[in-house]
Amino acid sequence: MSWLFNGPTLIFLLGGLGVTVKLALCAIAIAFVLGILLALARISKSPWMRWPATIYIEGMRALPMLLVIVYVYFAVPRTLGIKFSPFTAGVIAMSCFSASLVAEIVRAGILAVPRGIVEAAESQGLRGSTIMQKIVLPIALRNMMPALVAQFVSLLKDTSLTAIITIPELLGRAQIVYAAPPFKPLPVFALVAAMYFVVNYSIGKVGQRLETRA
Amino acid sequence: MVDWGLLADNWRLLLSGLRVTIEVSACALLLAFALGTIVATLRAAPNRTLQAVGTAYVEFVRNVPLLVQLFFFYFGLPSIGIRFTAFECGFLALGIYTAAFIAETIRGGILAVHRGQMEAALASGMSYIMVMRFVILPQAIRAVIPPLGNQTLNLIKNSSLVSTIAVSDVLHSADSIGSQTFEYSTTYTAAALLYLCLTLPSAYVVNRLERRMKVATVNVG
Repeated sequence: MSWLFNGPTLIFLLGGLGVTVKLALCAIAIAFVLGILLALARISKSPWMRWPATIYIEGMRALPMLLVIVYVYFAVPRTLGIKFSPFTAGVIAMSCFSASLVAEIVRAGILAVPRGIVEAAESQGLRGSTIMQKIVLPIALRNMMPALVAQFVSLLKDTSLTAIITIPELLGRAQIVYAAPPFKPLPVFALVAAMYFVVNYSIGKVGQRLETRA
Repeated sequence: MVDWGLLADNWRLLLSGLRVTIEVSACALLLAFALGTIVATLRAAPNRTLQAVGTAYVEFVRNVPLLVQLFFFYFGLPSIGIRFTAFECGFLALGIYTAAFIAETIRGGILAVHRGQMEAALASGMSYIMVMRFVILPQAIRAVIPPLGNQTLNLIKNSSLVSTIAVSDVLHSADSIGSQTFEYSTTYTAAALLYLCLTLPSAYVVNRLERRMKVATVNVG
């Protein structure tokens, strides 16, 4: 097993785990901002805001993420005449996809804020946008932290799909490792599965702690 | 952006891809429900060891990416002499993965059935398996039909991953047409529409069920 459990190979794989985490962090950050905007648009009174947001959310949610990834990497550059690096394409695809899921989490969080709080703020003469920014969103965000953490774990797993568009994240690097002598994929996959498990399980546990505290 | 002529020439390939997507999803769904129910029963069992087995299954399977599990079956197992066809690998990995989520959903339903029913049924001489089979599970599964529908939707979407091990599903058909003609936007758009045809009606049904169940619980409470 010294072909797998040696310094350079393990550092190579851990570097892949680093890329995985970096991808997921970039994607969740963008998806978070987009998701809040989409959620606000979806609960807006104006149909010009509500309908496009609803169509985007429902349409995107109904597609497989792998399709979105290959679409952004292979189809969009040819149509628009631009070129993405695999990493950029991966981040764009995953943030656009996750934004639809985050939007639904945010919307549920906003709708769960008790009506009385909003009415109390209104009776103080606060403007609608101020109420949303200063009162409703902060309460909603705190309540939806567990769901957001779960979404992040799911995103961390989904980053493995970007191995298909040649991003050297954990799974991509695993394929490089077993493509070399002695060509044994089984131990490599077992090790990689264990690495994913440790990271995702720990983050999941933190999420559960948040849930019991909230 | 969409080359209709190309689609007119290749619609047979795309439709056969759709059939494979449905086949692989249906096989995986059957496996996932059977396995998921068993694992949920283990997790709710009165025996510590059985509980631990169920918990280990759920935690391990749902924290490892599906693609890693799929590659494990397709590339990993043959190296120790276990060989499955690509289609078998696809539905096995998909079924085993989804089973973990279905088990958690069904466990939620089991916990929602009042403890007294379990105790009453055990007291009247039924075995644990019989109580589960005839008393608890029928009520538990009914209560979680909408979330089970969501898992089914996820399964259909996740079935696209089998395209990476050369199972000729919708996405794989789109890939192969695209790689010959470089009209990726056309073929992927067509694939997206085919997926929407499968998932949007299912999502609508799940939504309706969710709303109906909500009304039902309000009436009871």
